[in-house]
Amino acid sequence: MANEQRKLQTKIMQEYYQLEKKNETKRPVVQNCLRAFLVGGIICSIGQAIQFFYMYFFHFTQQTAGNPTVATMIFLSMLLTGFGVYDRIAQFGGAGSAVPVTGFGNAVISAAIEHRTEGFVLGVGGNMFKLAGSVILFGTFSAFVVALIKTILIKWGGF
Amino acid sequence: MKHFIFFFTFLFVFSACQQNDMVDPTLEQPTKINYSTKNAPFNQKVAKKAEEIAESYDGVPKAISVNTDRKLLLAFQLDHMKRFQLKQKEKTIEKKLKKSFRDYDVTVSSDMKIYWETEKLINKLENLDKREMNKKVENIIQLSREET
Repeated sequence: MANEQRKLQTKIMQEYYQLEKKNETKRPVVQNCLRAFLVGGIICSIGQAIQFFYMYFFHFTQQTAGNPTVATMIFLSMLLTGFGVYDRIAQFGGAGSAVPVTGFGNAVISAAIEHRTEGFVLGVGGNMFKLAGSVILFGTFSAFVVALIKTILIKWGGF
Repeated sequence: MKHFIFFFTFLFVFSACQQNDMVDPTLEQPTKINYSTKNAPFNQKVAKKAEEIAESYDGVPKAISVNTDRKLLLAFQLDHMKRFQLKQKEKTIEKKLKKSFRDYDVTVSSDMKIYWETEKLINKLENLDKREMNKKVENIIQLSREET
């Protein structure tokens, strides 16, 4: 599709495309993947340690310990974002720091910090969930769809 | 220089994965927890038998069980790679135990917390009376049923 479109381009446009392709910085994909793997893995290991902490010292089972663990991880990432540490981790780890639930905390607080000059109500309050809002919306919607499929399978499929 | 660092990180990560393939002779036979239940308020023969049944299943290295006069509680651990069949395994073991011990109200759990709590209870079985033991077993069963 892209190649067909390129054939229709003028000669100058094609030359510019070649020049652009020659000079653009190549993305270190393998390096980025490794960094994301390491950072994501470390974040998940910390999460696992927190889950074991809740299970061992409090009255939580493996299943119920998930809720306080998620809350703690989000809280920690919010604090780190406020202190400016999480930004550095994100610069190094990329998707490895954005995909775990800590990325949600980072998205909320970074938007709040960015808009604080616009006031507490219209600035912080109005823009806090600018990024995280889509996470909540699509998270809730996909949970609804999955629950619907599961219910249908269990009720009618006999699983 | 950067390439070297990433090469070695890559090597380190994947060699760590390889390590698991080497057979450690100490892992062949899971260490059986030795505990005395001679002076337990209830005879623990049923629990011992239930442990043996659970451990006979593939991928179950450790199982721990305790019984009162009417209730049987069994917690087991599952090999990591078998965790995809966790619920299925739990159901199979529960079914088997219910069939083997018809007089008992059987509860089976693969939850780590339940395993720890049962282990704790077994370690202090000798210092408990019947009423206390009933209460403690009931508490663990309630905990295993919690969902939120």
